[in-house]
Amino acid sequence: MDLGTIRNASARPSSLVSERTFSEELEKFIAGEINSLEQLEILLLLSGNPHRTWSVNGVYEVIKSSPQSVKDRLNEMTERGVLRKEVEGEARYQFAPTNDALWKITSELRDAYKERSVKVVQAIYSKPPDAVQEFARAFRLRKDK
Amino acid sequence: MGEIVYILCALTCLGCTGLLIGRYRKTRVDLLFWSAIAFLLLSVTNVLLFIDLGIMGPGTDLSLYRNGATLIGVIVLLYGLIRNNT
Amino acid sequence: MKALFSQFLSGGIMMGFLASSYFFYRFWLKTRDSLFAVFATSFLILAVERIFLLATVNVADPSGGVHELRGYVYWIRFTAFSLIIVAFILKNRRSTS
Repeated sequence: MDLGTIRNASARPSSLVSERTFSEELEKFIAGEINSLEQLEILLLLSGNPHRTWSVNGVYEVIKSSPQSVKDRLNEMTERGVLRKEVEGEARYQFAPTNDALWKITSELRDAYKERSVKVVQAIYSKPPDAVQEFARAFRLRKDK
Repeated sequence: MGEIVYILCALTCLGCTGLLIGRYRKTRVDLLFWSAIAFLLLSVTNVLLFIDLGIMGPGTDLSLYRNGATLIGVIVLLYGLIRNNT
Repeated sequence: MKALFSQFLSGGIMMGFLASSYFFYRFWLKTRDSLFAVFATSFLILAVERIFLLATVNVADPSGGVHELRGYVYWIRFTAFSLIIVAFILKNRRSTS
């Protein structure tokens, strides 16, 4: 799934929404874009404060996983067009998605996480492995999954 | 001098094979298996290239075997890629 | 005859490399992971190498000497694989530093 497909999501009829835990768009977004709880928390942190920029340490102070993995997640999301990175001096990141539909889906994600956090976590971790992603991961020597 | 080139190509392909097989053992993702086999065949091609041009004289010509190995490798790679998409 | 069959195989190989390159290009569009951009480029270069291999076939003397420029053609192949090596090093240096 590429980020461009979210653009047309609002055109779909919502008659079946009440039967699902989440909307189809949100399910697709989680399946395609969200790979870990850490990434989810970082995304919600930055998108909840879209007016300010964050340094790696600033995010780490809140998320408290590890500075290196925080940095990796921030860079990944910048590459995906979700965050914007300023590189003068210390690197700072801000939630500034290139795709407007991301604002809507992120706030939907925030609400979903607030109301049904366990369901969200289950959705993140019960995905079948994405072959393309695994191909790329094969060429990484990092210790994490 | 040119021989180093062939060996380096072969080693790169073998490296790719190793990395892909390593990840395949952890995740059992089919694409990784088929790509690994494909890169293995490509490294065979380059080893044959080294043997053909580096070790053997101008009398021998392994080009048919080299191209055969490369073609099978490429077919295996495409098989894995297409299978992954359908 | 052998040379003809060899080039027949080579044509199929070129198409195979081109098609593979396109798959990796699509993966790059989907994931924006530079690794796939590199693989797409490398396989494209490998496809182009086939043209140069065709151009340096020694027609007059099939069993004996080789075309004078053929040795340089294999540097094209080496470039393709060096790109992969470089991409691998860059990918892993960035995260472990």
